[in-house]
Amino acid sequence: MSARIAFSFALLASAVLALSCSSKSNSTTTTSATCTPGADGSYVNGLYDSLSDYCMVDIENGQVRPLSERVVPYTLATPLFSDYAVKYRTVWTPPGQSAPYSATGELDLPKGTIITKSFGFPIDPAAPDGAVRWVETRILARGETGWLASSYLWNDAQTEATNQPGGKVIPLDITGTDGMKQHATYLVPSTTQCPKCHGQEPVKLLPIGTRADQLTGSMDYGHGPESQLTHWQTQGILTGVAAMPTPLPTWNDPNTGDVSSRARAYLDANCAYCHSEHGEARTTGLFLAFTETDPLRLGICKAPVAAGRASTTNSFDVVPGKPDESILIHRVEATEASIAMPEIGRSTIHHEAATLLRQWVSGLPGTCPAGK
Amino acid sequence: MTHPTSTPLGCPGGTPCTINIVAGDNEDRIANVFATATAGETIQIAAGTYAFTNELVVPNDNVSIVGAGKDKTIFDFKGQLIGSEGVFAEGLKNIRLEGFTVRDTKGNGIKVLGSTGVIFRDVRATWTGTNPTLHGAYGLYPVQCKNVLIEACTASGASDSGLYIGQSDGVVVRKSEAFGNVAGIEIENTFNADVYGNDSHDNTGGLLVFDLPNLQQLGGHGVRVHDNKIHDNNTANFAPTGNIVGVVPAGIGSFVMANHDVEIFGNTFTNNNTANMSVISYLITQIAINDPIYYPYPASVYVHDNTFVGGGTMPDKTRDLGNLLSTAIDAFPDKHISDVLYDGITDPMKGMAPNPMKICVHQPGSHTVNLHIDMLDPKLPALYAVMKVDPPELDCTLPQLPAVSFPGLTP
Repeated sequence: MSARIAFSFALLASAVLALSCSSKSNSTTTTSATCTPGADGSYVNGLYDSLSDYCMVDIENGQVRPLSERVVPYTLATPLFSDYAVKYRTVWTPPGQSAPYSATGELDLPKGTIITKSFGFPIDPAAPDGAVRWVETRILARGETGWLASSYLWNDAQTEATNQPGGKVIPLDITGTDGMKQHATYLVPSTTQCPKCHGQEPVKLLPIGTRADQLTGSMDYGHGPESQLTHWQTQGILTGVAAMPTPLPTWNDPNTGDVSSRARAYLDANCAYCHSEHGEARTTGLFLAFTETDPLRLGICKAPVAAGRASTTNSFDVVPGKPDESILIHRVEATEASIAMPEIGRSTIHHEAATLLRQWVSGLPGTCPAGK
Repeated sequence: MTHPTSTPLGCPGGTPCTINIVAGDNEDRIANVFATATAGETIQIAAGTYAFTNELVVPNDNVSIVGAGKDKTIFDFKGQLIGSEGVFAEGLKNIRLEGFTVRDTKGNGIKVLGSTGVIFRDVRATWTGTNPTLHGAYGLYPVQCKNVLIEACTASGASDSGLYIGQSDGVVVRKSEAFGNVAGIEIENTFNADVYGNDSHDNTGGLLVFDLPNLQQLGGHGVRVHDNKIHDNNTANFAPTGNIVGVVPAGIGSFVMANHDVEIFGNTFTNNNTANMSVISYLITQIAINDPIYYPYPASVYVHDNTFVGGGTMPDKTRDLGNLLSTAIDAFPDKHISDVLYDGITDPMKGMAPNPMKICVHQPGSHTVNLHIDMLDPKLPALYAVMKVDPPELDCTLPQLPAVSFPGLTP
């Protein structure tokens, strides 16, 4: 792709900012939509062409808005990093359909479930909580024979998003939450790329993050802060919500855990969907789930298997006390395709997370044998 | 208002069909064709060069990606921005990749993971950069697959292995060529592989059969390597330093490491200047093993009826094994490293009987040397003092292994 995609950011900014006060609150307002969530339900046999067909979300004043009360927005304790994109997630189940609560593992959401995840960038980098230029909304819907996924690209007017099964590579300049400007090669994934993260062999597609320990936070649904899991139950998405699990630490909130546990939470959310027994990186011997306890499987003094040039001159994935000699750190701080980890979905450096992971490696005890 | 997205580009009515990609089609269109291909579809790509910024993912079971021939249909990834492979497939049944070249990918050429029934035919993976250390690791890269055929393919320039088969079961690699890679052909942690009729030359190491620890599939076995030409593999090792393949000295024709039930026969080894053929343990790498299930010793390896021409004249002293061999070169018959080497490192549980690992070499006219690295004092290597030339216990035979077969495999 040679030409840069023309995002009329400036134009949008003036238009949107004129309309909205750009102050983001945690409360969510829903519109009285005239559409029916899920429409005629035929998406279980093939996803719709337009996002509006689902009647899940639209955009008003630079903010994603759920179109009914049962389209429930949610946040995760520690999310995936995607080039500093702002994200907005919703979950909806067909009326009368719910998932049994489980304290561990991904929730077994019922057939017909529609999850949306919208990605965008603040129109004014100085106002990261203000109006957003939304790029895409991804749909993950549980169909007749398994989950279906595709991405919908928003038009410039932000009035409709259209299915883009082949995906799109979008060069753009972003400003991170650390205030630093970076050039991004933002990826709208093709449908065939979805299983690279969402596949858990032999299952092609599964949600990531809809699990109790990621959902223990609270949100304001218009009546003050409320537990997300409780609200999911109130809305009939979950049944039998019982004892809350130990929350996954929030990677950038020191109140939720020490450096080690927050670094491990970050690795869990950003790496373990592949680096797991059934994930795409299962052939590497590196396993990064929060629950992993074997130092070698966590990469500590583990020689790489198929890292190729990404190993540079380093011999081990993680060298205690030596972030500069750790391939894991090198790959987290790289942006070039095939060196950067995760393999897709990140083209800029997540500086704050890299700092945290460096602190974690620096604090690990022990030494590795001399490398080869 | 509801329109399944597969309709506009996929096969009508779910009947398998052929979708054509023609010269001039841009990446967006090709990506959409791939993303919407239904099971059974053939994506036919006309002659031409197609540039990609994103990886291509094979979408479905029974899909064939067919070009006009590997010299005519070129996928150019020089401008790749996204992805660790050029072409990727995962969890599919019966896919065919045929008649195209994948060039200058940022990472691996074509990776196929966890799939059953995989055909690579007339496919090339190659890199053309000026610094080969910056090339991708693997050319053709099936891993954790079942029933894989690699036929009439070519791989060159890979900074690890050109034709790499990992953790798979049921593999045939034949009539293919690998050159200018660090390792030409690698059969790693794999069960039941036939590797024959290939030409592996001008790599650092020509054809390597081995097992590594800490992987989901361990215990490589059932490998037959026959009727290959393995020659002139003397290219200086250009793997990035941290790679395990970086320990391989230049001048290696073939080695079998930590596999059992391997048969090497009818090959021609020519001018591999460190050592034409070796049977070794993982312990020779001196890398600590932290895997209780892993078995680091070779066992039941049968080397017979190969032809050796030249080789062993100039061990690569930049790597430990080559350096060790060079210290003793004058002690070898005719003052060159013998055609077949065995490191002599044996499983202590197998006792002290002669040849407890059943390594058999029947090569009349060639010399076989047990290096007896098990007897080396690590502080004072004196290989010439411990090695044994043509020890009679190694001149034995083993039952020949059966050929690999799987559904759809033609002779």
